[in-house]
Amino acid sequence: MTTTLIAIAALVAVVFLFRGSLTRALAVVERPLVSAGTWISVHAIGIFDSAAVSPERLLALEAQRASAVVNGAELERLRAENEELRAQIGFINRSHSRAVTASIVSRSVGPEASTFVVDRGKNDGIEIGDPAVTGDGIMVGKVSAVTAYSATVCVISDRNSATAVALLNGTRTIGIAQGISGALLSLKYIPQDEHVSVNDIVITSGLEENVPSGLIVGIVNTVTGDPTALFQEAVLEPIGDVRRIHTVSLIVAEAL
Amino acid sequence: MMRPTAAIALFLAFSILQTGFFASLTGILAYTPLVVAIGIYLMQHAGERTGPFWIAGFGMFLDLLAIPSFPFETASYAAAGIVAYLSARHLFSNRSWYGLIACGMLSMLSLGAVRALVILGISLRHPERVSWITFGDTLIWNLILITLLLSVLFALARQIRAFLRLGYVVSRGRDPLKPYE
Repeated sequence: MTTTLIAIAALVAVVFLFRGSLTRALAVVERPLVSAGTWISVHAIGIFDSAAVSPERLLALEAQRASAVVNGAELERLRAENEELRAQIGFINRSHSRAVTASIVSRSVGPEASTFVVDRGKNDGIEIGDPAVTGDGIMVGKVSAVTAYSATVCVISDRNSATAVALLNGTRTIGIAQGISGALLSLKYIPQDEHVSVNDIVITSGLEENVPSGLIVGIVNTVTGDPTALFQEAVLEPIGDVRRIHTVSLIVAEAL
Repeated sequence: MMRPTAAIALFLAFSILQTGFFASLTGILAYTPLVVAIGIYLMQHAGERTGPFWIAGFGMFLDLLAIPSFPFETASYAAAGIVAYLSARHLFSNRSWYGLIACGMLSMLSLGAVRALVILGISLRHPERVSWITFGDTLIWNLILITLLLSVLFALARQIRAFLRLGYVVSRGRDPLKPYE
């Protein structure tokens, strides 16, 4: 028993001191496990999820919705960019950022927290607060902890996650999207005079350090609130599903 | 020194399997409590006292790697480990399927109870951010999944006993089914 206790204490100390290196070493084993689990997850839709439509149809519809949201956001971004460029001819784009591709090596999914660990860390320029996106520019989370060789990404729907967002609703309503129980986000304190509708696209506002504007966060699912109250609330549905990806891109700000 | 090293290697392998493979599965399968089930099996059915350490260790593993499913996982899993130890020794010491399942259920309920306390603390500050329905739903699925896992382990008892008798994880001279002293 004493030997076991000593071994456990030693293990804890080793894990604590060499967390980054350990994660890097374990990533070799974990990466294929995550890929296998994700593959099964993607191909098992309809078996474990009680889908009313066929798995193929559901995947096609989800892809169609994601594509429409991406196109809508892109159109809005281009329109805004066009206006801005017209107004500021000669403006130099100072967006110095690059994307670092990373593999998910472990996950923890629950109703109260949702995080995953990737195999890139400080040595790759990753910092706390850097956004994690999928290939289409859909934001899935932000880096919440980082070691030399690994980083923990807190999913945007995590209860402890808050993201500065803007709605593509004409008036560009801004707010903070906060994770709530389950896989949804809540956008609060929206003034009553702002017109928010279901299916409005939600993007990052760019008012947050390290997070550029225009990353797609999700769509408005429900708008609630008493019309006589001071503020209205919206429930947001994230577009990115972390259970169906095993690689992400981390957007890293580069020094000027 | 070889046995603790082997036990730690096995613990890490199963922890990685849970956080890598099972956590990537869809729906309820993402909540599969693999390490807790093995810890409970080792303690209740195989008589191996390192079982509770597997359970408590998994909480630490989640917190140290910053991938907890709930806040303060070390405390929740430590409580579950203590309950697994006490219930296996004093309450459900009969190594039948019923004893094993009862021990597993009680341990998972204690894990849920500590998590509920944590959630209650959060709900006092942010009542709108807590969904008790989702919490209850997860707990029920955890109980169902641990019952299934323990049943599988119970069915594989002979093979597990043969593996344990090799002496890599427990003493070669000790019968895993020998009653507690």
